[in-house]
Amino acid sequence: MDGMKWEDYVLASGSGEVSKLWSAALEIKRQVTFVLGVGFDPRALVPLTSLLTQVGNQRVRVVRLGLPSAGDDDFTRELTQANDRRLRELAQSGVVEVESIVYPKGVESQAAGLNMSRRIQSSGVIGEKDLVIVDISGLPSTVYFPVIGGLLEASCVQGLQRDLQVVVCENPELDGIILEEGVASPGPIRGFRQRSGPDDTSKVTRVWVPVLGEHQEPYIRSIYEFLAPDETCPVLPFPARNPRRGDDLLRELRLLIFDTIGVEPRNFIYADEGNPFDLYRGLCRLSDRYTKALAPVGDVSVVTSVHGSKILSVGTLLAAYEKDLTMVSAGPTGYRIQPGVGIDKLTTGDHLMCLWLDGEPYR
Amino acid sequence: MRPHPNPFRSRSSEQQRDVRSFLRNFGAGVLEMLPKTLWDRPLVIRSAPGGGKTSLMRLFTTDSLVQVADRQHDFPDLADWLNEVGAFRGGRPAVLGVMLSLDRDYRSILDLGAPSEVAHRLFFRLLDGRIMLAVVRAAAALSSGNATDLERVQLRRRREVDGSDEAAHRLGGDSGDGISEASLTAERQILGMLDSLLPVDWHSGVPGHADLYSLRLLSDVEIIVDGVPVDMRPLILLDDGHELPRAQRDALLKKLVSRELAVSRWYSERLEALSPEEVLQAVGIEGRDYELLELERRAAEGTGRGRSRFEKLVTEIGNLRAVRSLERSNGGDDSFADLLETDDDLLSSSEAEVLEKLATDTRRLAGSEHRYQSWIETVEQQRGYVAARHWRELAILIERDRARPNLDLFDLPSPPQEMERLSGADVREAATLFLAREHRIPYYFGPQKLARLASHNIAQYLSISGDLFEEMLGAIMRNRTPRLSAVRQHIIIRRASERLWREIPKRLPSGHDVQKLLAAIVTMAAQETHRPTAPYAPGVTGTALSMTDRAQLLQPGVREKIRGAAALFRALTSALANNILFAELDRSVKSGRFMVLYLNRLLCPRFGLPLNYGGFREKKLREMASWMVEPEFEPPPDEPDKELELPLWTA
Repeated sequence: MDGMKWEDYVLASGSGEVSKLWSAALEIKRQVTFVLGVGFDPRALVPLTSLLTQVGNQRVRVVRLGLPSAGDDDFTRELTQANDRRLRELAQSGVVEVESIVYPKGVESQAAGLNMSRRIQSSGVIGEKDLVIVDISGLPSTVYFPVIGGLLEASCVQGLQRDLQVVVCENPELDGIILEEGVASPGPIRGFRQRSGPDDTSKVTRVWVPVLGEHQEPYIRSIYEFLAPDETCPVLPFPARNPRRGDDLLRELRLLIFDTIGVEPRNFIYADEGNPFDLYRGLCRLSDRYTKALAPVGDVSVVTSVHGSKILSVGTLLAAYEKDLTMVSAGPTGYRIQPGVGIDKLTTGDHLMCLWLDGEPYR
Repeated sequence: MRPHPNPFRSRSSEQQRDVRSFLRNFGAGVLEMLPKTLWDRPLVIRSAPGGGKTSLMRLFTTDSLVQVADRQHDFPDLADWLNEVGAFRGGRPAVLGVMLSLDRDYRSILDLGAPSEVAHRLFFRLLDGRIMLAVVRAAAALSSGNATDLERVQLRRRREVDGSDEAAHRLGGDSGDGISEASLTAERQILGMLDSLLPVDWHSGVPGHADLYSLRLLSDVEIIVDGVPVDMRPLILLDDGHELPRAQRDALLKKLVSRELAVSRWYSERLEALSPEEVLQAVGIEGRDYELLELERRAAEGTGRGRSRFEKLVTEIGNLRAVRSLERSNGGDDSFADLLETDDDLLSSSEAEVLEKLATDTRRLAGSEHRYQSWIETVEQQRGYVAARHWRELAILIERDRARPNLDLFDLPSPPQEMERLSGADVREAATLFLAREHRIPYYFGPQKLARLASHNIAQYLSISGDLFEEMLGAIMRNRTPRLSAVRQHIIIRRASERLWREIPKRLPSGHDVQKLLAAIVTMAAQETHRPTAPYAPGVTGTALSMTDRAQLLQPGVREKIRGAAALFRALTSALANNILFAELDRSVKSGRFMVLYLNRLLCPRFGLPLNYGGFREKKLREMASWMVEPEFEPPPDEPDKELELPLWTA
């Protein structure tokens, strides 16, 4: 497998390491553009706040991506308003200038992200030599996949001198109290649909690689029924902070994985929970292997879907971008916060991670 | 792979790719529901999710028809029905059916910001290309089985339809190769614009179509393969029309109903009971411009033998699914439905105790009145479960009789025939339910109740049947007869009901609001059902909103003014779209017309409600809206780890 773009990579885990990474990136004097989504998630402003402690007098341009309506209960509304207020305060203090890209109304979720990504690029709000940091903490995958993909593609095709980083604030305890509602219709995320596929898709061998996560059974099932794959290779997080996490996932999803889908035990793939590049490599290898092995009998379509952590999803994004894989999503249609939980106590578990995807380290 | 796979949980991929597997499990009885006019006017098929519209259309694709024709001894019922409806002629397919889903890509043209003047043209061009490619591939596959050998295919124009010359020119000419090339080029160009990660120029010169030229052309051609005319009429099957945005759907339907077209075309969409206006009313008149088939409504019609078409159909499907697994079992001559029939002694060892209690309670209720003496004497002579049910029925009748406004002046004995006259199937069913709850005996069992639990949804029927069959598999593996007792069926069904309830907040948009609405409906239903007089026998399982209130609810301005109305609208929309509630529009009740909302039947076991349709209570909009803001209907927090096992009945 030759010349993987991210064979060598830059990954920082924890506030200290992320801080060092940003110090290195900020040594070059240029505009810093920070792309984020600000909704109810308490983590929405954590990475930006951390970055602002390092930029000195420089004003950061914030591109605020609109979000679909998240929930109709009072608590999520209050949290959203609190985040809005905080961002307004930052803008009023002059440390940031905010440009907004509105979420398109009445548009399917799988197309909304590409719609916004194209508008970002057409608007010129991000300069050709900017340090661009995309914070995916408060963004759905249907938005950040095409946004990040679009930035990578623009740099590649147009030869831009941008640096691109992706940052995320992980907190499994907070994830546990955010309750997902509803299952959106499954479909490919626009911008991540295999372009080089054959015209007659009925003759294609479809290999599905879902990245498993907790409490995701309805979404995994929905995508399975939509895709009707010929082969399924689920990804389990291993190694992981909880060494039994993979076992627990299999116990939770046992009926679906073994009875309904009929996954063969040898088909499981393992990827380091804390390193998306491990998953990226695994997916690239898998795609190459299946394409080569099945070439004599026809075309292969490798399709992925993400049901685990956001940081792992970036590994899937990179593999999908490089190997022209299809990404399918069927996410929740709304969220609620579990009532009666002290959110402030849970935010102590925030963990920052940052990936440097394009620019200086790769030139 | 399990050694004894559950046939009700067959893999979607097998069903989708393997035509024979699909046909083996297809209930031919559904063809009885088709209207007489299938080929000359557009047929619009509507159903709730899982209602069977896609499977019905798939049966008429060329692949399926050829399989049935080649294996008529394997599929005799299907072959007979297909002949009956005109899809076969002389034992061979008379229809070249091609099926396309409208859920792929078309919507994205608008979602990605194509200007409206360009968007429709690209929509028609993409759809045209796909229709033509599907038709020429289906024709090529007919004789040699090779769908890619398109140079053998030609279209010979009759030149009887205006505009077919231009249509042919735009679609790539008259040859299979030319049509394929034009279609694939259009596909690549348009999908390239949809999937580019960089901004696109929508006016960049990708030409669109002002019309659906494929339908025009196919109305005017004879299809030739290897120089020989194919004696089959093309049939275009367009599935999932509800996935299109309104503008595209309107534009498509207007083209489909055009009277200039001779090509057969079917279109399917999901039933939307809360749509602001009826889409079809804008495009034509039913019966004149199109035929409409609403699957659930048609299925609910009786066959004249006490069973609805749907019950007959799903029972047939269940038997077909299970036949291979059961052949290997002990007692392999019994069908799946047979194995659910049980003559269990429902009272078993507690018969004496139960009968004693029922007799005592009923005599106490009757008091010293002579009026009921002969009624009591009739029941006293009976034994077993039948006696128990009659005692309970008698208690209901006495309660009702007492509540009559015009009581008799004298306390004279009433003959047993009077008891028969006052009773009926609905009272007996109420008695059965009350008896089961009060004395903790099974109620939810038997093939007829299983069919009702499906709520006119084939997918739901397969899911519950899968649960029941899982238990049967245990017996098959131990080499025992897989007959399920009434108690086991009742427990499994209650568990399935609980699972459906618990999944609602997770699976449905606005799931929390849906549960709140259901909690209110169920509270009202349970109160009304279990009144001693059983006024709405066998029970209430729904509610109703007047059509006037429904029209009000559809207006955003009204929703803003009435507290809880917005949440009600969200909950109703979600519940209806996901089969949790089932709506009957425009039902005449007393002096008004109502939208009746029935609970999904699979929710009824959790709340101890009957499965019959019929009983509902009308509510005004303001009252229903108030349910959404009242704390008493707040559903309990989700307990995903709590055991699904329930006692036979909840107290």
